[in-house]
Amino acid sequence: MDRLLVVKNGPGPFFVNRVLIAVFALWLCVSMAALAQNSAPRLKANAPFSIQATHVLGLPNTKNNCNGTLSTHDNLLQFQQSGQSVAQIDIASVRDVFLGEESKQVGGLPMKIGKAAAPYGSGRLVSLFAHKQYDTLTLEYVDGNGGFHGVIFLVAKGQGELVTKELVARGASSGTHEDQPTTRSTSEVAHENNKTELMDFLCGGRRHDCACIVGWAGWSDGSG
Amino acid sequence: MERIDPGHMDLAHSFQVAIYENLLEELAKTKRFKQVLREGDSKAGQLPNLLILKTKLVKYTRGSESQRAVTTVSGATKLSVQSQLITRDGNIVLDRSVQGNVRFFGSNLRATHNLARNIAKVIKQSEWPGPGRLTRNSPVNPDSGRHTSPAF
Repeated sequence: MDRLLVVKNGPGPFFVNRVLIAVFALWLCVSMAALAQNSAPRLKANAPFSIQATHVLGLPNTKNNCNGTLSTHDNLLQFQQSGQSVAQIDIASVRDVFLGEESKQVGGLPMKIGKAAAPYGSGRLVSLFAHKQYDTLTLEYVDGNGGFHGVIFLVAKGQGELVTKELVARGASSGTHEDQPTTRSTSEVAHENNKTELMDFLCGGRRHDCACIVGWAGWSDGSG
Repeated sequence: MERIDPGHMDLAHSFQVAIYENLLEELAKTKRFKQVLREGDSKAGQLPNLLILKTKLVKYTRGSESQRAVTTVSGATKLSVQSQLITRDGNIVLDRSVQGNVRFFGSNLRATHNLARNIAKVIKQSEWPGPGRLTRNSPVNPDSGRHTSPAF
């Protein structure tokens, strides 16, 4: 007559309430975190911002292709060469900001001389390793008379986006753009189309994008 | 001077700005114009005998400085534009094709400097009817003394 009493801990009426409370608490925490993140850029916008940059062209009374410090001060974007006066732009007058990439040979004149003097054309091999990637920052702004101006800076790789965000946070017009050519060469497009068509044929005419038969690594690009 | 019209070409904005700024500088050096104004400058409306310089990109070959350094013979950056000098009434006084390249030494943006210099050179060497006071807005062809039919 011993009966085993099993207490079944199933979901009771209070379980749902506890779940709802937990979900609400989680939502509240996430909202607060998102709000904190949104407010963070405002704090950063007031903090001074300064990086090393190369002025390519565009700033008034500033030498082309000169190195200096690019910084923000209140609502001004400033560029200063060492020992020279500061050139500045009102950030609110910036109409557009474009990011791009550029590779530039490092070493300057000594590198060029060394490459030219290298025997048996080995200087060309040095060129393969003597280039460094930079971000190009192109700003379009208007002056007091409504005249259109453009200015180009070279900054270290990865810093272009930081500068862009800083400018937008300080009042530059929105709409930062990637200044990359989107069109591929005709041969690249044709080769890609050929691969796609063959894969479609092999898969029975069904359009697909996966490497179900041959991995993409198995394809030769025809260049070697 | 109007901004560069890239047409249907995918020309980076850095190149467009570089051509524009270099051209302003080179045109000022020609000393053929009393005043060179930027696009949107409010002073342009008050000037008589205004000429508008329009530059449209016709051909662009994106090169590579690395490739030029390694191979020497390939990787050139090439720019070709159609330039028109137009009066306020819309009359074309000059219409030329101009090229600017960088083949051996120099960055890709060097091509914009060469292009601007060629445009300015053509304008300096060309003759057009009308009063002497002009405001530059359109580029000119390097083919001296030859007018071509409008391309735009």
